[in-house]
Amino acid sequence: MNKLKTNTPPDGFLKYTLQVNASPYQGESADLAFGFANAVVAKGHVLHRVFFYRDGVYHALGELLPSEEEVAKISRWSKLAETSGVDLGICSAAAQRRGVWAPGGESRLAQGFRVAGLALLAESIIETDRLLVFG
Amino acid sequence: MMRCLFVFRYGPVGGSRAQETFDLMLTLAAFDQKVESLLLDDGVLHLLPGQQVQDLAWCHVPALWQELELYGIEPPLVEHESLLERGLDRSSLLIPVRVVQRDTLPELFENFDRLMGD
Amino acid sequence: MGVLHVIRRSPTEGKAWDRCLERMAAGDALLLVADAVYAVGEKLVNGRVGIGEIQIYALLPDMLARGVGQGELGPWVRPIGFDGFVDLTLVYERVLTW
Repeated sequence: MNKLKTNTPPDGFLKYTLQVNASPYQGESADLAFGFANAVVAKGHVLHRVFFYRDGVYHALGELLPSEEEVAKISRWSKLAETSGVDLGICSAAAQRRGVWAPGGESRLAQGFRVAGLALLAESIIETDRLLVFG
Repeated sequence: MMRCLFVFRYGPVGGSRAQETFDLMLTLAAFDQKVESLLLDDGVLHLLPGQQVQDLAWCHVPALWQELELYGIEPPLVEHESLLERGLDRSSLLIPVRVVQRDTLPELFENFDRLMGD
Repeated sequence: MGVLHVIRRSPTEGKAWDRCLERMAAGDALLLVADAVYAVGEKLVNGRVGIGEIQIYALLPDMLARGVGQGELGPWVRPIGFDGFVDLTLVYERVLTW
């Protein structure tokens, strides 16, 4: 480890929150969000948090099994979390409503995702320089 | 303080769009942020009186609007032209609103830090 | 700075284009993504972009995916990648998707 990893972007760089409202297979919003997320990281900005809300919570389903030729619409987020350190939050109420998660059911979630309240999204919106909403 | 404008552009019935947009709006208000709402296009239909709770609906949208005041949120901004296109005017709406003209919206947007679609 | 309006729908589908354009003003920018990039051929946007000084961009990966934009770009539209999209958000703090 070289430097302390901080969450503060250097001068001229910004801190982003992404809100994803669409499910992985609904139109192109999720793809747009992922392309944007990747570019934020590649350009040296801080991707603080991606918050999956509304039908976006389906992203956290750990048991989706796309065929091998398909784009891995879930695991690509897990990988991004691993390489960039971005926090992947899903809204607890929206997830419960859709059966994606129930209290105690964290083990079913895809890698890198965690359950949080809407307060976490509100906090991100307040603390970061930009909010992009997809879907 | 973050100034957030929630822009409602879709009708109120069906799915969880309205409820989940409201949930975020009220959460931000609970964090003492400046939160306002703007109704455009079919969004103005949120305030049509006479909407009845049906078994199918798990959320009664008019009640959400009627409770806004309790959260210290200003009456919604409603676009004049959207009302006109639907044969409505402010007096036919469920709650008091602030009417704005379409060509003033870009100027209105400048008063906010974040625009949130529904 | 103005607002970055992002439009997703094809210009021939529904009223999203009109609804978006009518709420724009000089100083705003328009980014075409998904099916909205079908509008990069000039014919589709005749009469739609005469709304003053707005900047118009189209997401290149979405153009390539649809096979549009080879030699048929209107002079008013600039193709950009995701990195360009991020750059736009440095300039425009507020984003609204239609």
